[in-house]
Amino acid sequence: MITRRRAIFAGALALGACLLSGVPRSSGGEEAADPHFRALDDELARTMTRLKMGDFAAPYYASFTLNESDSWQVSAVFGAITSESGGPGKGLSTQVRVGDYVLESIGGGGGAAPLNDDYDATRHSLWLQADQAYKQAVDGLTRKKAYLANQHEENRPDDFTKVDPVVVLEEPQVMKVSRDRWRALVKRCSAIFREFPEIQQSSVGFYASAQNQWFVTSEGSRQRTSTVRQGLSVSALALCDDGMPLSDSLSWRGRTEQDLPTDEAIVSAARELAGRLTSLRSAPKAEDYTGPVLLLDEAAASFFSRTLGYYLGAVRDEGGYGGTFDEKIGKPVMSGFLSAWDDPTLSVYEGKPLLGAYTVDDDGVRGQRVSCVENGRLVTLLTSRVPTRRLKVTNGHSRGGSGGVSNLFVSSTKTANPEGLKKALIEATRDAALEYGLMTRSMGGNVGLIRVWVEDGREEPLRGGDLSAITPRALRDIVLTGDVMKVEDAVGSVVAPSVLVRELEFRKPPEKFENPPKLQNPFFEKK
Amino acid sequence: MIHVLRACRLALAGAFAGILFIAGAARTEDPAPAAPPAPPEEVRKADPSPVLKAMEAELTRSFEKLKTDGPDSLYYLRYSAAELDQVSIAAQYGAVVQRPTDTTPYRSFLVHARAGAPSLDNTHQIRGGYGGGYYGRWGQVALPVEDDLDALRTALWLATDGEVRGATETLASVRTDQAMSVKEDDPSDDFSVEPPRIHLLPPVSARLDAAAWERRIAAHSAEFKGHPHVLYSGVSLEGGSSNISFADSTGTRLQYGRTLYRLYVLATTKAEDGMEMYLTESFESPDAEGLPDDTRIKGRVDRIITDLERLRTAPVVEPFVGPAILMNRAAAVFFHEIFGHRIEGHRQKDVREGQTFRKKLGEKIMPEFISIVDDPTQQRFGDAWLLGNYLFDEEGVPAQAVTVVEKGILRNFLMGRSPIEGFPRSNGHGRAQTGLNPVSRQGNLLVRSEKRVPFDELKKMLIEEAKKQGKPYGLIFHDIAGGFTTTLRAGPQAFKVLPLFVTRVHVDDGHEEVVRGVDIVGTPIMCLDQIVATGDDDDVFNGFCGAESGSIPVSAVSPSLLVSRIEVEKRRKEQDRPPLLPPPLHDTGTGGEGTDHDH
Repeated sequence: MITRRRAIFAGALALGACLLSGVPRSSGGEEAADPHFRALDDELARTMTRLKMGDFAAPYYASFTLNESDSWQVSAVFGAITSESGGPGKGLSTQVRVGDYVLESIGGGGGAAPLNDDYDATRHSLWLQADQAYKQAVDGLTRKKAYLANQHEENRPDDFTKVDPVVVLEEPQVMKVSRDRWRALVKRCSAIFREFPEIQQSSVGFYASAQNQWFVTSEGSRQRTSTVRQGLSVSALALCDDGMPLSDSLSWRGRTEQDLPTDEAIVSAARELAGRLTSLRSAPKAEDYTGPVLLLDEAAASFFSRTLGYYLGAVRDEGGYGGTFDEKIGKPVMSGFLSAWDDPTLSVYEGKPLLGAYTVDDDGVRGQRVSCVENGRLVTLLTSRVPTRRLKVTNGHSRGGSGGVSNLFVSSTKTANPEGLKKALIEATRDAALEYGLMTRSMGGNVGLIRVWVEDGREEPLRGGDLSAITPRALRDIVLTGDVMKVEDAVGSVVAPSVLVRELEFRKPPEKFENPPKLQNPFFEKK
Repeated sequence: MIHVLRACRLALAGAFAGILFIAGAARTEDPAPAAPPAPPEEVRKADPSPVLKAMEAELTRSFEKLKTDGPDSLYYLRYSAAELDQVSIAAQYGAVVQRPTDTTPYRSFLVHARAGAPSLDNTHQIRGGYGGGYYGRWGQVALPVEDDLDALRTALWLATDGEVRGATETLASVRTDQAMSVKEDDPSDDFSVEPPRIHLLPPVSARLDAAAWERRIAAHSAEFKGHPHVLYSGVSLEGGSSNISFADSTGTRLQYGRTLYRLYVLATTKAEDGMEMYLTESFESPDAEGLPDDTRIKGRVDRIITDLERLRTAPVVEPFVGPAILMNRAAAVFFHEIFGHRIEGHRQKDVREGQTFRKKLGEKIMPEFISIVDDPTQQRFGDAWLLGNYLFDEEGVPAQAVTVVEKGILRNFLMGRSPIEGFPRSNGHGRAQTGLNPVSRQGNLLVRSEKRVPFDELKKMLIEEAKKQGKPYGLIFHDIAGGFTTTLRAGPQAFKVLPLFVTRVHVDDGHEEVVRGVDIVGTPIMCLDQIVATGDDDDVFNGFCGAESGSIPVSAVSPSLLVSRIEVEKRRKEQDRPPLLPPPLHDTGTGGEGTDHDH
């Protein structure tokens, strides 16, 4: 199996971070009492001792996963519920590896699982999955060996790293959600847009989920982990008179209701969003721009996620698909006053939930804090059990099978407070002989760009403006940062200060848009 | 190429063979029934629902204000909404894997806008371009599930704007194409004019005792546990209600619902040579009470188990041309595929279509003892519920019985509101899955025969026919999964039908044995001509038919057919071996090949 970069994020989103809020407990008695493991163990034993076809090798590794989930979503538009859905579900998945740690092939499968954990039905399903997975792996290994026989490859890394078994037994969690509260709140929040005739579309959604997972491997790992999530999002779209769409959104995510703001805070943030979008409709359009840019809060987090986080995962580059910092280890990748690390073991930072946290990664390896960039220099990457030429050992960062970020931290020794940052932006702008500099709090949606005039420091919101393709090169153009590390949601979480970048490019918005609707929303027409 | 197979792939339904034996003699001797009396122009048995009220208000406002005086103006606007309230229960190997959630109903909505005039509008086929004119750009839109008029109208407003805009833009392309391309063979209008209808019925709801059904379904699925040759198996129950609201700019207002439950059984096996086979059963009923009792379900489950074991060890048939019997339900699928799809009206003017029967109106296309009616107004055949029944089609036209073949002669086509030469009006067959744009489709395709013999007699005739042709045996197709047919010119005008259960009858001693591994292939015109006689054993096939307007419920009813020549070819076979280890429940510690592990 060739792992590709894309898989990191797909995997991270699909599987969620295996994050735990309970304290891991490990006691033989408790484990023995958990009937969920019994069918998995029994069928795993049979798979490892007796599954074999003809002259082909038997599996050298197998893992079974039982996933139990519960979810609830409710959404509303314009004051009325549009959907309410969710419910419990269970699934089984299987992985079988044939060959050895040096050269292997993987097969896998999945399917529905009995809601009542019926022993016979669970084993029957695992049996069929493992049979298919094994045959797939055998077939793959034959092809792979034939392919490699025609290739010349120096220092070929092993296919899979051997690790010590990890036993983690956390308390399963159930979804706790005040349905009445959230149903009422999404309605109330979405009804706010009845006060704003210029908002063309809007929606408000709440979700809650709980996921418990039982995982056993033939290497002896056995894990029971649990993840809970709740979140609320508000999104709105306004059309300018020239047809330019402006979209903006708010979202709050956490583990439990306690992580989310109060009703009043949410409602007032939604109203503020609607007001901001409405007034932005008449703002001046952004122009082409090359010069210093101050990235605030969310924009800074998004910047680090795209230029740093994306490249920190160690990815086996078998398909010639680039995009990792593998060759940059030991070299400077950021300005010298910046350091970065990834820490899945922290679940809260200054009272805010870090959603990238987990106890064990997607390979079943314990997550570790890893220092990646020290004083601007790249130290190492985030690794999974798939070794690369340079990194042979996992540091517990498997996200869907390849290395990836969890909670990315960026710290700085060259900082300024908000006023100082703005002053530095103006100075940099003046140095670049420009009339104005830009700051932004968002990386998309035609909203969030603010023009700062050199002559008087006046701030003027702009509409439109796309950040041209940014590359990791921009990390070395950071000249100053804010003095507060803020938590933002990204792939996992990013904890970083605002940053001033010496030079970035923004493109002006297109000059052609589809006309706004001929008719007004009937609700506002009758007023 | 997707288009080659797009015409139809009929999903399978269960086998009723032998049980729902229809005393159909009287029925089939009837001449094709005259069209039932059209529903009165106005039926008001309920007030308009909030959804219909919101649709009416927004449709009226939009149509009045978006219509202009020019030739490119919006001239027709249609709203259709569906409220679906469905449950799903499924069990495997004795355990429930899916149960109903406390999910609220789901409401969806579709706008259809036409610009220009009925004679030429934005839906007109653009030749040499992609697809056939403009079919909407918003697609299905979610509506609030609460009866809040302002929120409902806001959703309708947004979707309308996009559709009307798209219709006008596409009309411009249609006009360019008209100017640049050769004159069309069929100069028919793009849209038929139909009288407005008002038909308002109270909403329908469906209820079932989910806990009791979970237990029953789990118990039936547990039957398979005793049989190691069955690999995957499952029993499921799905269904509920759908309530439709419909309004258009000619004043049609419809509000009606339907309920349906479907119990479905599926099991698979694998022969030693790797061939995968499956059998299914299904039961349909408009209410939970009408579903079969446990004895009857168990009977079918047991038969699947027995038949799968017979199939697994059956010999593989070599390619063969010779006589065969298509048993009633198999014959019904056969007619749906090879004939039904070719009399769908819109295919007769699409320049990409093969148009097999377009010029054959009034000509004999099959033996004179066969007549075929498509009658969506019929709800039941004997005690079997007909899935293809409906009150109105998705273009707001009342369902009507249409005699397509009368004593072997082609008389009519199934028409939606897209006229073809000589057929300017719809006959209530413009159908679509919720959220898609309708085209002409089948409803209940009823095959009637005047040359009926008891099945035993038909079997004797099969042996005689085989002898006459010097064949060692004839084939009997008991059950068919479905099939697919190509109606497009780009592909061969052929069909393929996928049998599930086949036997062969040897001419020497008349003994019958199960065989496996064949598909029926052929071309429609030749095949219809080969029907020699029919049985007197009419039975129903209920299934879901997929084509360009989505998956829709259909039925086909037919007696068994004796066909003098049918061609079968080898089925594609899976190459991997049956499972290496025995099922865990049947593992006596042997089997598998065992191995030593050093880690």
